[in-house]
Amino acid sequence: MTVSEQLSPRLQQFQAEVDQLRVTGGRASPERAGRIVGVILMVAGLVLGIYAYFGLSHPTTNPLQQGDATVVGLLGVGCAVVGTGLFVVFSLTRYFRYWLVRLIYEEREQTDRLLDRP
Amino acid sequence: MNPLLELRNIRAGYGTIDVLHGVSFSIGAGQMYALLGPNGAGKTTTMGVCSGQIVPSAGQLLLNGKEVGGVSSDALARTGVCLVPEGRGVFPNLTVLENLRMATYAGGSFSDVVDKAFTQFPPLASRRHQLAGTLSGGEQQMLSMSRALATDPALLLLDELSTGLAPIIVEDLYGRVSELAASGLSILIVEQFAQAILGVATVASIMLHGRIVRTGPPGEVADELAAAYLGSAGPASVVSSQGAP
Repeated sequence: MTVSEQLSPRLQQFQAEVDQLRVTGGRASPERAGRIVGVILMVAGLVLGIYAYFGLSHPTTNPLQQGDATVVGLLGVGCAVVGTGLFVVFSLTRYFRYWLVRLIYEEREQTDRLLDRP
Repeated sequence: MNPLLELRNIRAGYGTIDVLHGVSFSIGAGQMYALLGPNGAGKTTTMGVCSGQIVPSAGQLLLNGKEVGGVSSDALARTGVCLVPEGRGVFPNLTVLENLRMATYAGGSFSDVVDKAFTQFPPLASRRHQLAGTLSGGEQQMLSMSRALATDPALLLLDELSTGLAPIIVEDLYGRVSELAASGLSILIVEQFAQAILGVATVASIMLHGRIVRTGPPGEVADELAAAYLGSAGPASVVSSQGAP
């Protein structure tokens, strides 16, 4: 079929509606990004904790610097806790999504078997 | 003029498993595009991408020249991209009329939707109060299609229309589909059983292992189908007409 240069009213409407669509830019796997951020925060927390003890607190007897080391250490603990939380939440989201899809699929298969559909 | 639908190097899949490995094709206004391939080739995933249900991990999805990656499937449906899914695309516990009422989301009145459906698919009229789940396979497909057509789509995506249907019913359904294409509607059809649509499509492609390996007029593509399905053709051995000099 040759395509007419003159758009039909429906296609003109389609063009106008497509132009009005708000494109947000989709993400194929938001959970993956969440898990990566979680792992990064966990590692950062661990590094901060080690640095706070061996790098800041241990080599000195200065109470001011040891106080700073305590703050850095607590920051590290915070990072590790938040990172672990993110990792667990996004891992579970992924798992439950897969589990739900599997459940739906099996239910459809079961219906087909019951009704003896091809 | 921009193609109505265009896929550029689309990669998509489920979780960490990639199904489409760089799929590119376009459909112009009034074209009827047949996407053929064996089970597991990635055809339904392609439909999912086109209808906005699957977000591609790479590549571009364009409607009328505008990139619409990330737009929700309901927003795409409202613009006129309509998917008739594989198998039973009906609500089995609702009657025919109740199923048709579901098509009024696009703004059309219920009486218009019913009139349109019963005019295009007369067998449904006598089944109007019957539960959709108890209709025959062909009637369920008719209901599914009539619900799609009632929304006045600009682009119709038909996924495996022939699944579980007798050849004579498939032939009848594709006869109706070709009438729709003749009226100017753009249609993308995904099929495993190619002979059903090669007679009515304007362009056809063969998809294997998530890649389009051949695109061309249906008559030419038909010659290579058997080889492709039986595995003697692959991305390396079949030259895409799009990429050919």
